[in-house]
Order: sequence, then structure tokens, then C-alpha cells
Amino acid sequence: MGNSVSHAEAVEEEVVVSEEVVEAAPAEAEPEPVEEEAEEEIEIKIGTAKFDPRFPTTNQAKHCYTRYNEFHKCEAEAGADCEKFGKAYRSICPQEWVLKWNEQREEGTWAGKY
Amino acid sequence: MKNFVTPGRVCSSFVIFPTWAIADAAEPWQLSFQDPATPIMQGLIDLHHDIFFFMVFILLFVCWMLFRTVYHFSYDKNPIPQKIIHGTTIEIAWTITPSIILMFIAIPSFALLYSMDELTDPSITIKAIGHQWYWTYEYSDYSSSDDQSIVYDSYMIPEDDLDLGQLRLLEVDNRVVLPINTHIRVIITSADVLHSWAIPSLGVKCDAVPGRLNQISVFLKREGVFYGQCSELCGANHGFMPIVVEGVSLENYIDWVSNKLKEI
Repeated sequence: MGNSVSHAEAVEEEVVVSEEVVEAAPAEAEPEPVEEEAEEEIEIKIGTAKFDPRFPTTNQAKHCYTRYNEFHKCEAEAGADCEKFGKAYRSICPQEWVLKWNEQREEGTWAGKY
Repeated sequence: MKNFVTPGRVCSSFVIFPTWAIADAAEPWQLSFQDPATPIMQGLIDLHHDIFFFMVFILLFVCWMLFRTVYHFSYDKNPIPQKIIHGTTIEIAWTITPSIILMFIAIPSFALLYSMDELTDPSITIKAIGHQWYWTYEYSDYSSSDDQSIVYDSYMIPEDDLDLGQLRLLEVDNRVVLPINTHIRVIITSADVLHSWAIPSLGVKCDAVPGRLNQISVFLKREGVFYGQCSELCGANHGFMPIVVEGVSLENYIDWVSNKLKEI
């Protein structure tokens, strides 16, 4: 059932496709302006926040909150290379929650340490 | 009887008996399950069939006992009933047998239950957020800032705007696009009241609770368009906020995501 791992892992490795390759066909059919092609430099990498053994439950609210705090802890302490934490909390947290928390941080009413 | 099965007749039989085609949406007078698209739904159907075997067996046995009792123990045939009040052997038999039957039901049931909870390391996370009365979907794996995610609302198409062949009360304007043969984590929550994100073909039914992020995993085995509906009473338009998942190949999914990213 849920244990059939091997196939998906194989897929995950293959999947790092740069967008240029994927977009080749539509670009041929309809030549696009230079500015738009510059935008297509974004690389789509299939990947998301990994399963975290600290949060094995169905309810992932605490997972989201912790990842959000970890990102800001990293920014406050290390100041660089925090993007992996950023990606993790963005994958888990609803945008509405994050924007609300950001607002609280700006207002100085955020309950967290960082 | 020459050429009885012609292509035309086969095609028309699909029109007359649409259940012959793969069923990924509810049908009028539907009695059985929709066709499975995930291993979980396949497991649910198999478990149902396993348990049904025991149900039929028990039903026949009980009916046979009742019939014999009513037939034999009438006043005419048996005026003086036997006065047996204790029998150790039969008591052991009718205690052990049902417990063995229960074990045969419980073991596959628990195996399925725990495998449904299992989250295999996912490749994609999507978020489904219930609103009164529509769903919002977020794809945030590909964004590098908080307000750059792919976020869109999914509303039901009203009856007057339906195209020919579209399903009434089930079609939406923006579908959820998911790749097949990929482990997907779906995070379900709500922004107002309780909702429930349910798709029968995927074997998914998960409540959307405000302040809580419910996580489920989905692994699509085939391409298709899978229809579901909100399954927790959420107000006046509860019946008008359907869910449509479109299972596509991974390449098409990447195409779709890159097009969506360009729209932001």
C-alpha cells in the first residue's frame, strides 16, 4: 500500500528538469519576446519538505509553526543559507497563516523568540 | 447473428451502460464504488469485498438457524420442548468461532488503517483550504518568497454555464492538477467552518478544520479526472463546492506549474 517507495524515489531523481527543456515546444510554436524568455530561467525542481519524525501525526499545524520559527532562528543566528528552512515552511504552511505571522512580526506582536 | 459485435454497437453500449467506462464521478442510482485510482482505494474496495464474504456467510447461517427453529419448534410438532440449560461444548464452539471470524476481519482492517496513515516521503505538497463556499489550492514548493506561491480558488460551474458533457454540480472552474506515480502530501485546512475534502476514486475523505493542518498522502496510479464533493455540512452552499482532481503525467504537471508560475 503506502509502502511502495521505490518507484517514486526513482521518479524524484529524474525529475530535476530545467524549465527550458520543458518549454522548448511551446516556444517553437509561438516565438515569445526576449523578456519572457528571461523569466523562464526559473528551474522547476520537484521536491518538498521531507517527512519529519518530530511530527508523525495527522495534524501538521505544529510542524508548520516550528518550521517557520526555524527559518527565523536561522536568519537571526546564521543570517545566510536559510532558504531550505524557508522552502520547508512555505510548503507546509498556508499562505494566509504566514502573511498573518509576518504582519505580527512587523508590528512587534509576534509571540515567538525570533 | 453475423457481426453481432460491431464497433458501432460497442460504442452505443457505452452510451446506454455508461458504467462500463471508468467511473470517477458519482452516478444516478449508483450502488457500488467508483473505480479506484490509488492503492488506498483499491485496498478499501478489497477490504469491503473480504468483509462482505463473512457477512453473507453469517447471514445465511443465522437465517438457516431461524428457519429451522421456527419450523421444528412449533406446538403441533413438538408439544414438549427439551429442557437443556447447559452445554459446555457448544458454548465453547459459539464463543471461539465468532472470535476467529472477528480476527479475520480485524487483521486486514488494521493493516489498511495504518497504511492509510503512512506518509511515504512526499515529492509534492499541495494545500486545500476550505472556504464558505469554495476551495482554495496552494502549490508553494516552487516559490522563494511568501507571496509568490501558486494560489487559486476553485468554484463550481453554475448549471447555466455548463458545456455539453460537463457534470452538473460537480464541475469546477479551476481543477487541482496532480502528477501520477508520485507521492503527494495534501494538507487540508479551513479558513472559516468545518469542511471535508473527499474524492471517492482516490479513497480520500479528510475534514478541514480551522487552525488545524490535516495531512494525507495520495499516490495516483492512473491519469483521469476525479470528482468529489465537500463532505462536512458547512452552510447554505455546502452542496455546491465540489472538488475536481486532474491526474496528469509528471511532464504535463511540470508544464502546468511553469505556466502557472509565469502568471504570477
